[in-house]
Amino acid sequence: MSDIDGDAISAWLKQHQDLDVTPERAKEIATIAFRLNSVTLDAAMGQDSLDDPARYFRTLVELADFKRET
Amino acid sequence: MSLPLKETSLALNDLSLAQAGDSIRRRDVTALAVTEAALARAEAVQPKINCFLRIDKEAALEAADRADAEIAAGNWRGPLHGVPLAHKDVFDREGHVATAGAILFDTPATSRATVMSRFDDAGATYMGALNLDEFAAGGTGANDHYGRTHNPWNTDHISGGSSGGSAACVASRAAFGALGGDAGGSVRIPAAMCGVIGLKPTFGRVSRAGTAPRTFSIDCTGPMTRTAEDCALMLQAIAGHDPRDPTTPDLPVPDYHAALRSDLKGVRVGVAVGSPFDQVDPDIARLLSDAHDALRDLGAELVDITVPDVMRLNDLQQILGKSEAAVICGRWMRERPGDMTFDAISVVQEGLLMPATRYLESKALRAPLLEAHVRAVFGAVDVLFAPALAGATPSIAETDFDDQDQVEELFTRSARFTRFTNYLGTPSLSVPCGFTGNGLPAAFQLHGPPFGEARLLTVAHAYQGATDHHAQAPQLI
Repeated sequence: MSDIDGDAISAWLKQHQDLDVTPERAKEIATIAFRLNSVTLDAAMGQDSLDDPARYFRTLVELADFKRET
Repeated sequence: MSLPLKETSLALNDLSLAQAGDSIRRRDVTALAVTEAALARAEAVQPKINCFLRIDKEAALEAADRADAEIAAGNWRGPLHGVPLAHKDVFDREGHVATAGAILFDTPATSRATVMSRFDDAGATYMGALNLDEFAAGGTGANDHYGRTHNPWNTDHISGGSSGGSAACVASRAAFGALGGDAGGSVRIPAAMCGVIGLKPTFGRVSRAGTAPRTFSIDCTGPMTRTAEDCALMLQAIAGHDPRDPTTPDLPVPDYHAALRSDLKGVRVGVAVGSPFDQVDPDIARLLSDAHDALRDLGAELVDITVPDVMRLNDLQQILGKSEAAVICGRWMRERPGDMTFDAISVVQEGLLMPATRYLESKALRAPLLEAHVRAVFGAVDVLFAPALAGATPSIAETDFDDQDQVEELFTRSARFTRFTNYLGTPSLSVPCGFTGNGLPAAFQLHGPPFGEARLLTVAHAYQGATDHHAQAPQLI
């Protein structure tokens, strides 16, 4: 967290999100967001490729009431 | 089913939804008497637990009268006919403002949420709208605009949230069932804290048309009831494809009630072990162990199972939830920040710092991670057993932090057990399993594969047939 510049994040939020967030709060939310971003990037890089997100709905139906082998 | 000898308010309130509906069908009791009893209980408990935002007394009595007339004429609609229900204030009904726990909206709805129409078609009586955390954004039941919901087992304790009003209402027997909404645990956690059943169905199993969104990709509407049987009856009424909601697939809806059975012979239950599932207080661990014994006694085979990637799935749920909530709340955060509390704003602010690339990666990962999860877990077991809460339900004083992030951290202790199924879209059910040392309810969760709600309800129903936690009532009045 110490590496995150709250002033810079606050300014970015004002410029790109049109929102006023104090530097202290900006630093707090950046700490959480950057960790979640990092986890997501790692997960994505762990896949050979990524398909259209719409595939999710098809997968959900294909796995409907999935049963174990007995 | 046995009937109350005297139609006292107390006896009628103590009936399950299934018993009340059956009694109305047989005309042993009128829908009007059942509704009057529910309304009387609602008015008695409201000053203590603040679970209602609005009680539609006259409309409910008129609906009950209509139900009695229809049934007398031989037009019984089904097991919900004449049964009073109340719902989280996120569902459109013509002429009413669905507040979502906020003060930003003042335009009455001009149409009806599909789930409301389906309950109306089933003949259920609508009692009113239930309290929730502002924008369904919290986990404690606090709401600075309308006042917090209190836990009916001890009003000094939190109800949980965001569907805290729904959980407290059903637990206090002011309605026979209620709908809540769950994007990360908002049905299951308050259900666990208030001692009722709470179902987060498969994503797309229940229509969200006409429902105020918390997110786009992970919101699920689900029933909260005292028994698994009641939950099956409510789910039956609302499950299935809806042309108004393109995320609802046109899949057959099973007969959830017919699937219920009293033993678990041949059922293999996977007990989730390892992190984060082993991070529970001893009080909770003892109750979970008791529940394992009860399931074994019913004939289930219990095996330990490691669930891969739960914490990562939880984080991916946060990427979707926070990004989408930031979009949904974005207009209000910019144009009317003074009409939103810091609590509501703070939990979505991180979404402002998540790039589109991360958001889309989270969405694109959903299919392969769902497939891997289902094959790894449900290739080995029929249902997955996991905690619903990490510790005893805290008091209001214990959650009265100045720092909202501390509240979020407290909520996250239990949300670690719930969020991953919102990311995956799989169903999960919170089932009361006794009381911690402070006298508050605790619960376990049952998870299943997509559209596997029937097996969760079956296990819960058998468990409730062998235990009596669900039959105990808070002494509010």
